[in-house]
Amino acid sequence: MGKLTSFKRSLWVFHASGGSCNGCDIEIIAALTPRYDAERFGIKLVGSPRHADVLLVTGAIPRDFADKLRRIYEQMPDPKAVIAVGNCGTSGGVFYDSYNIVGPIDEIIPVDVYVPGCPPRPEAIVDAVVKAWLKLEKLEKQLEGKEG
Amino acid sequence: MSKVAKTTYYVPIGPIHPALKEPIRVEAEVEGEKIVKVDVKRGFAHRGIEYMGMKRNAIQTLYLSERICGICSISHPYAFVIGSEKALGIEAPPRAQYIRPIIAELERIHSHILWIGVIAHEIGFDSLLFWTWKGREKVLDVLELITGNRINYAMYMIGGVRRDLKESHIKALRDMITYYWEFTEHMKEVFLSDPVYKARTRGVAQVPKDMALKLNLVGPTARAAGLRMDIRQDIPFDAYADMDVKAVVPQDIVGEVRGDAYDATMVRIYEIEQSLDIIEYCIDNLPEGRILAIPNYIALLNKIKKTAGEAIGAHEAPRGEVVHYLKYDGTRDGPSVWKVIAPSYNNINSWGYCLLGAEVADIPVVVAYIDPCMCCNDRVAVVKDSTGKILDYSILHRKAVEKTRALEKELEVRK
Amino acid sequence: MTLTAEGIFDRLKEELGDAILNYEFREYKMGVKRPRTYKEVWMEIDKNAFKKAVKTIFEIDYPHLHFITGEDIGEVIQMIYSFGLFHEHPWGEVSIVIKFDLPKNELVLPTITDLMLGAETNEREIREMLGIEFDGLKNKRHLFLPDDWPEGKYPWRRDEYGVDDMIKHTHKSVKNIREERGEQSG
Repeated sequence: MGKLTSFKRSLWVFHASGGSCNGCDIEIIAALTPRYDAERFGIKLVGSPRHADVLLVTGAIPRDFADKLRRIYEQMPDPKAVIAVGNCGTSGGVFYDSYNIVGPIDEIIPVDVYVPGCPPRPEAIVDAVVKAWLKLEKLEKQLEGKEG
Repeated sequence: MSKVAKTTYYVPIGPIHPALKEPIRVEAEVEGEKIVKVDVKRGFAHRGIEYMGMKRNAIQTLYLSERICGICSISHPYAFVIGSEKALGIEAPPRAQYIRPIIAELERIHSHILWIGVIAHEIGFDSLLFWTWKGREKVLDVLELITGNRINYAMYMIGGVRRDLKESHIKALRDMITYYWEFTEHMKEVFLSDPVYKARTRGVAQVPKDMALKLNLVGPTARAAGLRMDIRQDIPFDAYADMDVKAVVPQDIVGEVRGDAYDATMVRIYEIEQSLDIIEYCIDNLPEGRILAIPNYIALLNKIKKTAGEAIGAHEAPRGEVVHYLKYDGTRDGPSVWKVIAPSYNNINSWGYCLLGAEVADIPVVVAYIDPCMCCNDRVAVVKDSTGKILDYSILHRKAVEKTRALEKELEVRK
Repeated sequence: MTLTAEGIFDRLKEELGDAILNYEFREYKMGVKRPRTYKEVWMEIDKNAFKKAVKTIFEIDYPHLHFITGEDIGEVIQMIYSFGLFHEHPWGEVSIVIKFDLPKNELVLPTITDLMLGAETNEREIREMLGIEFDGLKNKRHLFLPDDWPEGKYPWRRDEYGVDDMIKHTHKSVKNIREERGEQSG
């Protein structure tokens, strides 16, 4: 794993849930509680996509939500990373033949990190956020390289 | 006389909120600080579960029913299994009938503690959210020890349970029971005896008994209003049938009942203690024997293919009553008709009633006090005030917290 | 004052008479150390007697509505209503299930929201899942399905109004992926 050099602020995460059963959402919250304590790394949940660096998406996406998800993705400033948490977001999960699901998340927005599991453990989610952090490092360096 | 200036704010509560995870939209027209019109819009998480279940075989549908909701993850399979056993005429062995309530009560404990953390956060006591959720980790550890996972346990099967309880599990359960008797004493001190919490929740989201009947409410919300409704008492099954479980209502605890958020908190904390008693009874009287009536799944599916029957299976989930209707028609190895009613299905009707005339700062408390589980229902609720502007959730939450701080100053507590 | 399952059925028989086509008392034994039983009443009635049956049930005691559902069987849709009476008594709740057939060319039912406000959710769901109209229902918006759902598509129907053509299979097999990429399979 590389050293974090250019991403000099703490990581702000926005959580969007599209038709999930809430198992993954509870484990995301549990990752912030004292037992797993992601907050000591500076990871924080924010209330608006415009302030966020990382987008955490859970659930297989129902028809109504696809547009909203695209809009949330477009509202996020660069550099950004997307994490798909859970089996539903990765491949549809148990909802593989429904009339209202428009598919796994990567058919709607590009995904950088996949976290399989139903639900994944909080440690796995923290690991995914760290991997996204490293990717953001790379993206930020590229942006700086282009402008500088 | 000039009309009151109307501004409609749309207050989206969740999905973006750290504590309320599901897509909710409650539309309420607001004049000044009071709400004058409410509309609840549902349907942002519809996945077509009943449709899918009617095409799969019974065991696949059982696994699908687990994922209807991650919090009441054992209640849907429990109702499905009870309904299937009634329809197919299969009886679970006695040891399985005593293991099943243990897991169900463990889930009740974790769900009620989760709810208390969420309510504390909505009111503005953020450190209480972290304290209660840390206390919840103990029951999740015991669940992981017994079933292998913290959420989505896959323990139940038509005709029994899939995994057995060992001696080390029973010792861990007894340790956990001692831990939680202390924890509920702390919770009663922190929540029920605190003057600020009382002032903040007394009178908020109040539902009288006759309204609770008309709106078809279930669960702790209905019990807080004074109705003695509990599936474990009215239509018992498994080990509950031996135990004479009584519904927990405020009139038995403090003598009077008002049906507001304070009563709901009281009912839930006392239900945690009731669950500890039930678990202890089940461990002390655990019979020996097998755990599955038909251990071979292929034989089970063949039996289902030949049997026709229909039945209703119901269980008291932490949020209320879960009802599954099943019909097997003897031609395929799965249900041909399946209907799921989750507890928040009807409890959300109470929002329309409670929010009328309430203040904007009380919206988070009202929304969270019924313990909504959107995934069980695919409901969405949006709050908008009378000019049509959508109120950002952070504004709502800030108002709720400001009201608490003002109350603290008034009561001269914690300066 | 509570009634037994037989008592409730006798009251209904008084009011409805011949409209009851078929009935059955189902008894279930529960418990390991002290087994006890409870009974449920299942009956099939004529569709015109439906509102009268519901009114009689409400006169006996204010019930709890468990669910409303329906099954698509060929030329008719069979509706199933389930009520629970005397629900505050241990071992005393009696579930009453009423079934009746609605012909598909006349899918109209009277609403019961004038007797129970909370039935509105159930009726809205049936309306969008099976395409049945409710006379007197005030709030007719969609409950679960999105607002731009195509007309004439009812998820629980098994005939030409069903949704089998709207399914998306999200899992792809290795063979599918190879075909998409244009590679050789096998």
